[in-house]
Amino acid sequence: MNLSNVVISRVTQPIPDWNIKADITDDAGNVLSTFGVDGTSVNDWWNSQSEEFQLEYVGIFMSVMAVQIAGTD
Amino acid sequence: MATYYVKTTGSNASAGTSTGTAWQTINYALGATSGVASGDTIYIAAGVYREIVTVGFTTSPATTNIIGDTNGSIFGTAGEVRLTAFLTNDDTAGSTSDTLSMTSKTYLSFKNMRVESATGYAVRVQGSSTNITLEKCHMTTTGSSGACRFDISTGVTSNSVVKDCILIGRANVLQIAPVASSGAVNVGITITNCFIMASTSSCIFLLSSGTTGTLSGITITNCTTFGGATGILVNTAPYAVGSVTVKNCLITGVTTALSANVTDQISEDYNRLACFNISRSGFSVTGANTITVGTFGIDLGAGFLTGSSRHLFVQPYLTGVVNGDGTATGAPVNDIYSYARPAPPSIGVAENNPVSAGSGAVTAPRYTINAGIN
Repeated sequence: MNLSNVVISRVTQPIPDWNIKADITDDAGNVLSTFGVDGTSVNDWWNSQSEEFQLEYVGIFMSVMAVQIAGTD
Repeated sequence: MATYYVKTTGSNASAGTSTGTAWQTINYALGATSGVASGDTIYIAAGVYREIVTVGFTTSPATTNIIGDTNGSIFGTAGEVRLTAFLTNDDTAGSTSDTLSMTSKTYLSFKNMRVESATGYAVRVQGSSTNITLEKCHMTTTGSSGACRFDISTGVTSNSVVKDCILIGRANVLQIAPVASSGAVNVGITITNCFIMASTSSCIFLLSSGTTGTLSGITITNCTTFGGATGILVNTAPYAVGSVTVKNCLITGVTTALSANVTDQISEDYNRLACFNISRSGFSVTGANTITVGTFGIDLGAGFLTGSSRHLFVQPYLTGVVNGDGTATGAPVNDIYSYARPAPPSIGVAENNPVSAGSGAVTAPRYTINAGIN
């Protein structure tokens, strides 16, 4: 699976967000799916995910945040 | 052209011109006051060197070779030549500095060294440095970012090579970071026969400062990357279409194998992209000879675990599986262990069925990092 025509846009209104657009293709270049005509909101997608999925990534965020907060490795 | 020597039991007050009068520290040898001149050779004895090294001598115009005497042919004792930023011991927090650094230095070749950093880079090349070669070096970091980084000044063609190296770190383990300004610049970096491992972000990270101009001239051949979110990541726009060539590489243990910031910055073919789900991001043209399916690809010692072989680590356990998958065009003659590659060669850093042991190869037993997939 590949991504082509990727567009990642910063969104500031109504709240900070990112918008993702791309074609999801197979190795032959056939479009399997897309992120929608207008793209997909990362915030909306994140909030639609399961608690288990979110918790997995929150754990990753936590370690990154700890480094930022403490200002050291 | 003179030859100098460094050993842990030496003295920086000595002449440095024989094994018996060797200097004690690498930093003194490569500093501004040792007397080393461009074109000289420096042998470093096996041992642990707990120091921060900054190249200070005048390096142009001939190649100065800095060679770890790992087989003991010079000093009589074989072993690892280990340069580490853990200055006190391995259990005490290390220096935050880059372990081995050079700024605007030229014609330097480092070979047979293990270089470790704590939170800095293990090796950092900066400024207008050119013609730097890192060969058969093992670079590791416990820090948040890379083991090796090339910061390249505006308009500089580096003409540098990283070959036959192992690089291990957390994120963005091998970084190429030129300044992009007006005009077109051939960055001139070749990465070949390198095994690179990351736990997050990317294994090979191509970035730039500045947003104007165009960058080109990155060649990545016969490398194996393992782990990270992305195997090879181009994350800034100045890299021109086709400016990053990736061939004969095995990218595995990763979410996205190849990722371009701008469509078709990466020109790829003859690769094996054995990844979680996204083979390529940011491509309209894909390599006709690249294969995006297959098993995991690297044996991490299963033969020794199960008793099927005495292979200690990363030895291939599948036979005859990858010969001919690569392209001979632009490929290195030998693999990471100096074994002659067949034609066409395999993908990845090591040959499963090499033609013969080349010059400098350790002949037995042979431990390899091989693309064990088909």
